[in-house]
Amino acid sequence: MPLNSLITLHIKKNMEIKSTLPDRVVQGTSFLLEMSIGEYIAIAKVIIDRNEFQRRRVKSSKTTYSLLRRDIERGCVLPPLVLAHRDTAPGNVATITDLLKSNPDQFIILDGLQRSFTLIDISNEIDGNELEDFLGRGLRCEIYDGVNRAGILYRMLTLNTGQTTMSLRHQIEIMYLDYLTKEVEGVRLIREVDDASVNKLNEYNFREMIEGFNSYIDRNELPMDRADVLDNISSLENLSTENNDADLFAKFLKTWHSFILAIDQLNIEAEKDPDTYHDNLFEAHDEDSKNSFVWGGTGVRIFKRPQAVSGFGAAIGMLRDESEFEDFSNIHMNFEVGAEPHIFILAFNEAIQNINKNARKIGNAQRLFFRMYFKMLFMKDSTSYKNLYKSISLAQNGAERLGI
Amino acid sequence: MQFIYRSVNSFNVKAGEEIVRLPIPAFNQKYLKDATLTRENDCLLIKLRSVGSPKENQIIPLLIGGNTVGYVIPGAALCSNDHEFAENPMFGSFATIAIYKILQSINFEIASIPTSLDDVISEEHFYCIANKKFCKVRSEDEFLNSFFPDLMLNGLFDGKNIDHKFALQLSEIPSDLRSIKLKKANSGAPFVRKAFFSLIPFEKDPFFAFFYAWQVVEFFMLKEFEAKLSAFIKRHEEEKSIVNFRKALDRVNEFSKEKNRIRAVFVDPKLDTLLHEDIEDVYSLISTQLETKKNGNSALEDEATENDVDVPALMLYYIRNTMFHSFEKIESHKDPMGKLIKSLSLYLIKKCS
Repeated sequence: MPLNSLITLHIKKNMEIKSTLPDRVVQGTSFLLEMSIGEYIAIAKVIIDRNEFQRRRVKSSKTTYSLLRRDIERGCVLPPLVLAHRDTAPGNVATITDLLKSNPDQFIILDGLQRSFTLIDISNEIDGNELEDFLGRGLRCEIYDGVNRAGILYRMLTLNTGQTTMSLRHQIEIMYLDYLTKEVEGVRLIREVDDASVNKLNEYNFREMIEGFNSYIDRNELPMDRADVLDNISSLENLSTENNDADLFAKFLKTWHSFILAIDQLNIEAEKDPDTYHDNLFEAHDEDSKNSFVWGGTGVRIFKRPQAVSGFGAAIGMLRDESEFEDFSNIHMNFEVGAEPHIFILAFNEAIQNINKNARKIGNAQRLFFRMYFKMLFMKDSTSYKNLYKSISLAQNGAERLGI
Repeated sequence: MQFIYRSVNSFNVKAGEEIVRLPIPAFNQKYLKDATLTRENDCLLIKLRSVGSPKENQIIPLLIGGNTVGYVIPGAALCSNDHEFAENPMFGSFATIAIYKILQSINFEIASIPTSLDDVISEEHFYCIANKKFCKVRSEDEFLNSFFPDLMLNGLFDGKNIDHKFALQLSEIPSDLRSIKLKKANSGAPFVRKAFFSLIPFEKDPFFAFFYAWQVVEFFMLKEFEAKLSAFIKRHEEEKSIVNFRKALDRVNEFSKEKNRIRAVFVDPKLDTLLHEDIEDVYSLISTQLETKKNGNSALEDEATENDVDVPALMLYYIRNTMFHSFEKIESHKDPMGKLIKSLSLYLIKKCS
């Protein structure tokens, strides 16, 4: 019998819920299910196929997954695989099993993705009685239901402690991928692989916004490439103090968009006066300019950058910890430029050029500069509160003092 | 172990049956085609260090006869497109080959799987990537023997030993450095390179560093003597007058004296005022201590007045003698000695170039 038919046969068997426990930390329900490997493979395949951000497989060492594979073939009992239902509407014993069968794409694999790949691999490579025996074997699966995004993320971080941990950014990407298909109050997220470029004021790069949000929850503007998620206790603590009902990412996105709109309304543009300004400034102002060494010729161009979003995220997170505001809605986006627009643009570009010249790692230094900039801009006690121009020099001094 | 450029956005590294995928920074991706295995074999990669941490924009083209033959690249710039060379195709090509060779050199410890190139590229180092053919060298060693003075005079030292902190801080990267023009060194002795490139900058004790430096002084003394001797032999073959021959032999005998050979090393017009001052500082410190024994110095002082150009050489000779025979008289002067080592080394490196 072909593999797919065999799997279908196994789906018809009823999966069994063995235990239901409330999770008081993430305010959801945890179900422990027993099902056949065949049932699980059918669900896992849909999750992996439909969710483009679900991490790809890790082809790595002989000593990890290939050993696991051999053990599975010999009939070992797998540790429970952990799934989460992405819809926050709480399910119940009856609906959760139905949902698993009818809408497996509503689930994500929190822990055990590499084990799932191994199971699928084995099912593809054996046949006959051996395959039937394999698909009929049981496994345990734990499912979190009725948990909001922050809660799922929190569980991902605490669960994903195996051989190959996901980066925090990757976990957040998985969590927020549905924002790619729906707009948040007019904001549109664009994915790099869509071959679309971010041209309009309300369009943002998905990955860049994720990085900015990541900086918010981590209170750190640096990219997460090297960070060990498990060591990152502070981000866990930050998450656990957030209001569990809040959809933080949407709020973060809206706040950043309102900042960009406020900057846009100020109409900050450099004047084309070759006697006064550097030519390169206007080259950068040009849409087709290839000169990437000048930061930006308009207010929006200066701020609509990944480094700025990350700096913004980190600064806002820190200010929240310092009780500067309670919620994103308390951040008011009314600014004064503080100088002639062209003076502001010139000063900003000079500051960035200075950072570029002296930085050990330019990208990180720029992120630090923006973190300091937004702190100065939004901190009520700052002498440059809400003043775009004054914040430049304070941010530059601050960044240099902290070490770029 | 096998490296494959199969993917447009990653290095696939095959180890046995397994494949490790390392993402390639976006800016390198378009240069992958150029970074073929053939090109990779044409290039050499050397790890370098500088006083202080490298800055990402400190990318230094290496030039021979106006042509770019390679780059000195800060580790941070290899995986970034924020720097000024990010759009430079030639840089992109060299940078990609450098990454490839770094992956080769670490020979992938599969047990600790790197998740990004950042994990295997040191931001504390510079990576010197150069085309062997254009540099007319066959190996990394030959490249260093040929070009170490140019690298050192521009503040770049051996980067192999990552545990050693710089002690003597011989030279910093000049702030206006935009490129390094390479020309072959005139000293082919590998130990000279070893002393300057790998030992002296890392030596914390200036007296021990002086010992290393003095070996190089002796080397130049030998070279001066050999030059004198070969000139004498040539003359011997041509000279018909026994009187003139005798005079020439006397001059060789005179030159063979240690003091005169040292003079020959330090009469170079490149002898800068800084070295002169530093020699004087150390000399005056130890000679003040020894004023009571003036008789012992009279010969030196008499000679020193004979010719002003020779004074620093003779003072240095005196410092050397004190250093090797009466170390207790000099050991409290660590700081001026450190300064002297720095200027002495830079002078000798210039002599190598």
